[in-house]
Amino acid sequence: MSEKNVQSRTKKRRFGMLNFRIALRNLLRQKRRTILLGIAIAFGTMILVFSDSFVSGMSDIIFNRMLVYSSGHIQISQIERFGFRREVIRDKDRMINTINENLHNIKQINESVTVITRAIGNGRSDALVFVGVPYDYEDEDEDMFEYLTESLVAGNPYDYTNKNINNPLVVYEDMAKGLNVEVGDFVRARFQTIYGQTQAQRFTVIAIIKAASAFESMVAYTPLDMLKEAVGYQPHETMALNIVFENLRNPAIVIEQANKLHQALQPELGVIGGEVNIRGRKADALVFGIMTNENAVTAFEENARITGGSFASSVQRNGAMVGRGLANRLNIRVGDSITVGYPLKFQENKTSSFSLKVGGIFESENDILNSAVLANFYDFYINFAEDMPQDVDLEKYETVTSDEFKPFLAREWELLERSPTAEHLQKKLRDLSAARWRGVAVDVNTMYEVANQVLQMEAGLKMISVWVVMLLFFIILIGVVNTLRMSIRERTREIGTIRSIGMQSKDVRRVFVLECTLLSFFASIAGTIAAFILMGIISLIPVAEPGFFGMFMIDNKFHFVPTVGSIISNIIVIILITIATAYFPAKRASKMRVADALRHFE
Amino acid sequence: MYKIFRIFFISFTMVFSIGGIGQAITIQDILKELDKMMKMGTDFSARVDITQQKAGQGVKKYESLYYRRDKDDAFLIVMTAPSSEAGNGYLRVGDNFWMYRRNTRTFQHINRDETISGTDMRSGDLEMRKMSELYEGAKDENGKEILSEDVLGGIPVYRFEIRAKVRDVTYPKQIYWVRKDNFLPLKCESYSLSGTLMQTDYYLSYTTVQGRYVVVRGMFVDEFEKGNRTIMEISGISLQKLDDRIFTKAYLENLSR
Repeated sequence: MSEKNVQSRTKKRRFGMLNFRIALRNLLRQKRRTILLGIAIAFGTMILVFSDSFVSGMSDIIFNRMLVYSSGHIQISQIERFGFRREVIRDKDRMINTINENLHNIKQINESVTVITRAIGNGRSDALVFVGVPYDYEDEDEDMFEYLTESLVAGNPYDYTNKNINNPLVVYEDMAKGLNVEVGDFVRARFQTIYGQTQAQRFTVIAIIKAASAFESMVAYTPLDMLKEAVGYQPHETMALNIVFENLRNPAIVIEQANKLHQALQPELGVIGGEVNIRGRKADALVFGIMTNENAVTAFEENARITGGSFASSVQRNGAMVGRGLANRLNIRVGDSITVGYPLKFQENKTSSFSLKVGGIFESENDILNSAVLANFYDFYINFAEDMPQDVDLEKYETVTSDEFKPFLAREWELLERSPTAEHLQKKLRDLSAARWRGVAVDVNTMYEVANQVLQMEAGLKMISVWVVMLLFFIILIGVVNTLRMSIRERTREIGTIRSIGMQSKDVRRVFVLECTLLSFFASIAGTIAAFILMGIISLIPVAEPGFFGMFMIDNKFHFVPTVGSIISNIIVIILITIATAYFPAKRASKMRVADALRHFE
Repeated sequence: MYKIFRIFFISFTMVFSIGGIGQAITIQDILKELDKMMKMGTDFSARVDITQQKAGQGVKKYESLYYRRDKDDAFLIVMTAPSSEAGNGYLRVGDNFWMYRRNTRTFQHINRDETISGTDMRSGDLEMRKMSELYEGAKDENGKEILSEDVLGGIPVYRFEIRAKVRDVTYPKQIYWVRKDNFLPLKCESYSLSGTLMQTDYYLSYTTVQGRYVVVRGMFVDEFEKGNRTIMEISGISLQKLDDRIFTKAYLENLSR
C-alpha cells in the first residue's frame, strides 16, 4: 500500500471519529429535544416489538403447544375406504422403521389415537376429546408423567398405571367442573369403533390437572392401549403416527423432512401369498389385486389375454381372474367359486380366507401371472388391509414387479400427493370422497401445511402491525425533520465556522445524518428494553375472564415470543427510515455557502 | 336428528308379511323368518309422528311423511313439523342419498360413508341388509344357543340373543323377544361392543294392512343416557303402488314449498 493511500485512510478515520464526536456532542447539547424525540422513536419501537412478539406468541401456542402434541411436526395417516372411511395404520412397526431409517433428530414418534364424543359425568355432559397416552413412564413418556405431576390439582398420577382401575382418565379442571366430576367419579362415553360398531366405555377420573390454555380443557387423557382396544385397533395397528423433532421450529426444514419421508413411503406391489382351494383340490398361488382404470385395462391387455369369461365380470365384487397355468392345474372353469386361504402376518399360526367367483381365465407370457389369481380390487384390498397376509418375498418374483405390470396390479396403498396448504389437503380428501374411491391411501402432512392459515395469519398480523407502526413513525419523523431543520437553522453560523476552518460539505451532511442515526439507534434499543419490560409485566398478570383471548394465553396470561431476528430487522428498518428522513435536510445544510452561513444572524 | 333417522330405519324394517310358522326353532331359523317377513315387495307410505324426550331438554315432536319403494331401494322422508324442520327432506334412490334443506333450497349429496349433517349417522346405516347375514345365534358356555321361551306382557315369546358375524354393524349384540305364534318382534335390547345395554326398543302395537303386519306404535328407550326416550306413531298407512315421480328431487322440492 502506498504512503499516500495510508495517509488518506488515516485522515478519513480521523474525520470519521471527529464527525461521530460532533454528532454525539450535538445530541447531548440539546438534551431535552433529544430526549423528547428519543421517547417518540422508542415508543414506536416498543409497540412494534410488543405486537410482533404477541403475534409470534399466538403462533407459538397454536404450533408448539397445541398442534405439535395433537399431530406432531409430521403426521402419517392411512385412510381405508371400503364402504366406510376409517383411519388405521395396519402395520405400525413397518411405518416406524421407515421413519427411523429416513429421518433424523427425532424426539418422539407417537401413536395418535383420539375419540371425539360427548362425555357424560354426574348429571352433566360436554364434548370431550379422549386422547390415548402410553403409560410406560419409565420409557419415552417421562415428559407426560412430569407434566401430570406439575399440573396436578387433585388425584394421583400414579393411578394412571394402576391395573385395578378401569379406564383411568385424567381431565382438566374446567372440564371436571363442566362434567361435575371429582377424582374417583366415573365419566361415560358413547362412540363408534373404526368398523362402525357402537361402543360404550366407563372411565374413572384418577387425576384433575390444570390447563395451560383454553384448547387443553377439551382434552382428557387415558391409557393408549385401553383406548385403542375400545376403538377397535389391534396392538399392531394405530390411528396415525405423529413425529416430533428435537428443537425444530423451522417450517422449511420440517417440510423438507416430510418430503423425504413421503418419498420413502412409495408402496410396493400388494400380494397375498396363499393357497387356492376348489372342491378339495389345492395349490399354492399368489393373489394380486387388479385395477380397473383406463391405463390398467390397456396395460393388462398388453400383457395378458382373456381366454375364457370376461374382464368385466372378473372385476366385479367377489369376482376374479385365474391364470391359465393355475386353472389347468386345479381344473378351474369360469363360474367356479374358489377359496383363498392365507397365513396372517400378526397372528401366529392363524389363517384367513375369502371366496371369489371366477369371472375369467387369462393367459400371460409371465409365468408368475400365469399361475396367479387376479382378484377384484375391492375384495383384494379389504382382505389385504383388514387381515394382513404374511409378507411375500417379492425378490423371488421380480419379473412381476417390473414397470409394465405396475398400471394394473394393485400396490400396497396409494400414496397421496403432498399437500402444501390446508385448502389443498381438504380438496384432495374431498376429491377422494367424490370419486367414490375405494382402497387404502397413505398421506404425509406437516403441522405447518395443515395449519398454514396460522402462518398466513401470523404474517398478516405482523404486516398489519408494521404498517400501523410505520404510520406512527411517519408522524414521529415529521417531528424529526422539523427538529433537524430547527437545529440546522440554529447552527447555521456554527456550520459556517467549521466549514471555514476546513470541514468538507459532505462531513457536514454526515454529522447531521449520524446525529439522527445515533438518536434512532439508542431510542430503538430503549424501546426494545421498554417492550421487554412491558411484556414481562403483562405476562405476569393473570386475566380473570379471558373469554375468546383465552385461546392465546397460557395459564390465563398473555404469551409473548420475541425473536432476535425480528427485533434486529425492526431496529434496522427504523434506523434506515430515520436516515432517509434526515438525509435531505442534512444535504441542504451541507450545500450552504460558507460566507452566507457566517453572515447568518437571528 | 340421529335418533330420528335410526328410528325411521328400525320402524320401517318392522313391516311384516303374515307368514307360516316353522316347526324346528333355532335362532338362525328365526332370523331367516324375520328376513323373509321384512322383505316388503310392495310400496309403502305413511305419516310418522315421533316424540322425542330428552333429559333436561323437554319434549320435541317431529312429524313427517314417509314413502318407500323397495324395488330400487328408494325412500323419501319429508318433515312437516316442527317449523324449524318443516320442508327439510331426505331422498334416497339406490346408492344416491340427498339431504334437502328448505332454507337454502339446496340438495346435498351424501356418500355412503359420509355422516349425515349434524348427526354421527352415515347414509350406509340406512341400507337394508339381511339379519341372517349380519348376525348369528349367540351360544352359552356349553355351546348351546341362547334361545328360550318366555312370556312378555302375557304373550308367549321366544327370547334369543344374537351376535354380529361381521364387523360393520351398529350393535354387535342384540337380544330379541319375538312372538311365538307369528315371530313379530315385541322387544329388542341392543348392546355395545363392551356389552353395555345401549337401547331398548318396544314394539307396542301392530296393525295389519293388506295382509301385512305394520308396527304402528313403538318406544325406543336410550339406556345409556337415562331419561331419553322416543315414541314413534305411524298412521295413514298405505301399501298402494307409489308414483315414480315421488322419488325425485323435483318432487321433494315442490313438496317443501
